[in-house]
Amino acid sequence: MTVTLRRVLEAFEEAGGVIRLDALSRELNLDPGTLDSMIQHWIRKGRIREVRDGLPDGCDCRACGIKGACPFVIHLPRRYELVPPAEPAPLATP
Amino acid sequence: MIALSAPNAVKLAPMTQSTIKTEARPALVDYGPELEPHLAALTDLIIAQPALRAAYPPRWLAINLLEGDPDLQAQIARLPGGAEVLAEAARITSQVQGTTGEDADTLIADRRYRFIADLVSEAVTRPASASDTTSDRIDRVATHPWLGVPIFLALMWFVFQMTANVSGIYLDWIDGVINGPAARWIVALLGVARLGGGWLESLLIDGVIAGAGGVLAFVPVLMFLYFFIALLEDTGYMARAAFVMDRLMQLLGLHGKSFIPLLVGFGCSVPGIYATRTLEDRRDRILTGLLVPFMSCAARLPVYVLIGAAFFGANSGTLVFAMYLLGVLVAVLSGFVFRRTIFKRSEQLPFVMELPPFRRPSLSTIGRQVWDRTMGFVRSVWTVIVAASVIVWLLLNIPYRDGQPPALSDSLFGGVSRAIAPVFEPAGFGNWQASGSLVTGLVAKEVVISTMGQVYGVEAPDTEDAPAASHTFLGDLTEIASGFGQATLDTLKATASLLPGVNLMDDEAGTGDDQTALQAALHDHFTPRQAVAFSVFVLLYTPCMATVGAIRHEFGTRWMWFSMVYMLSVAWIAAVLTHQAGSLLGLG
Repeated sequence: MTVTLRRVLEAFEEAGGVIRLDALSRELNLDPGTLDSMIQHWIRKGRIREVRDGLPDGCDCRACGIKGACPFVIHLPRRYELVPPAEPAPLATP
Repeated sequence: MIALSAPNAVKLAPMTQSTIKTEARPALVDYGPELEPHLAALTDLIIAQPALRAAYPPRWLAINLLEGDPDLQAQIARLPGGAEVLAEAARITSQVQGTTGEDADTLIADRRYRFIADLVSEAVTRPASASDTTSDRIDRVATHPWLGVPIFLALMWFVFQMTANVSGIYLDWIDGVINGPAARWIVALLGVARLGGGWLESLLIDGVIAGAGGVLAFVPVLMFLYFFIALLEDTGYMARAAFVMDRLMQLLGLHGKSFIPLLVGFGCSVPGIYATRTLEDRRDRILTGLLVPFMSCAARLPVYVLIGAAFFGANSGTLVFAMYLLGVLVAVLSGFVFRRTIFKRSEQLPFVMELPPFRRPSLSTIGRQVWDRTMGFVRSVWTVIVAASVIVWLLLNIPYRDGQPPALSDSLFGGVSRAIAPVFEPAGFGNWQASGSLVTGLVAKEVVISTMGQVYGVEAPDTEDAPAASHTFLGDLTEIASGFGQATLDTLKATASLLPGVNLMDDEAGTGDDQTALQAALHDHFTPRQAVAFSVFVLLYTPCMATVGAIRHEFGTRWMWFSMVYMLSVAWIAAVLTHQAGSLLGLG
């Protein structure tokens, strides 16, 4: 069955919190690349946002010997959540 | 159509030609009953406007206007008839939203996804199970439940062998350059300026050259380490290291994610502390932050290399490896105890990470990383370590009596260090020089080396023994170049000699005959057992000021003091145990 954009949004509403891209991909049986582009649609609409851990102050890769295993450098699972209604995100240009 | 190989490109060419010649109709996306009638009406309206019809394909324009493309709307508004079309597009958008509850652009995107999904299901045939890639096959070994950890340890052992043993040849060369030609040039220049023989010469030679120059000599060692680390990173192995060690962390009750900040701590504790932010639970963050400084950062490596080369010759790499392993062991044991006492928690959250595929390393990427990190180290030498060397030099030269500096042991630095020294007596290094070096090492761990260079009275030999006039500038340059050539040749021989059954090194190599002045001085003041206990203390004791500041910033003053006292206690106990156990076993 084809997964609709509405179904993707509903999955976030049902989860009620942060969802990992890989987990949702399995749940909806949808290729992660396709799902990610569908999520990007809702991000542009200001309904979903990506959850990121901010790069810390004073973090200096030049002084760090294990850059490739750094949590800010390696590809940790991409995570998203619904934007709360009281906190609308600005609409991005498509 | 895309061909991924040259033979397939040859097969594809006639197919492409026949496709081009076929007058195939473009595939149109069906936007469904909610949108198609509106699209048709809007398309007709656009066709009725000559300026719009001439500038844009009508259906394409209708779709894009319903999607609300702001740039296109601005362009259309400027054309004759544009305002009417825009007004109709806005009316349709509003009507669709009212009847379907969705924005028109969402409906359009949705129909496109359905179209793509239908097309893919008709055109793509997927094998029942994906065939293994080379990366998958390597992963089966590299991340094997039982082989993963031994492979990781074996790779680390190899890295430290290369770092400590092979790079040591360049260390001797650069140490010779700094204490030989560089020191002679400084003395000569001061002589020309009629400033020779005074306090300025003492400051530059006994302070900056003996201190910061002594640390700078370790640049080749760090370059080797950075090279191998970058190589492991660029191939994708480091992510596997985090993966295989995660199992060990979980067994010991630590959060799987904890290993990543710990791994970062091998480079520098400061980003390791900040990397704890990736842990959701504050208690996990604090616990991991307390363990990060036990990971041996790059700044501590010169101490092990120095002691390894001074006392263990060809086995110095094993000492370095053992120090890194001990740091991990103490961190794991501390975590094990903390988790069952002050950081109790029953729930274990899983650690999920994506493993990038293995790939061929890029020499340019590796080169850039080595360069950036080495320059970071050199910058720290020219700022923090030069400043620390000057301060230590000053403290070693006061109180000035009868126009003469005191003997080093009678200086202010010597007096304060002597007062602390008895604390380290049970660990075997209760002399004022070692104590003083450890105190200044609180600023930055590299300062332990620079202070040792100063307090053991390491002179630049050529400036004392041979008059500067006996050397020419050209002769010095020749000496530097020939020394570099010899070091490169010896490095190649030493690298080849790491292979089983191969020994290209001269018999005297690695016996200690070619030790630097500081290594020789340490040999006179330490026994091997004392030196190992000293290395253990340097590994485990209170981290540098920058790390202490990061702990305070992230976890507060109370945890900062806890960390400092805990690490100092653990370091002292471990050093005493090392020394006393060695004594009981009759070692060194």
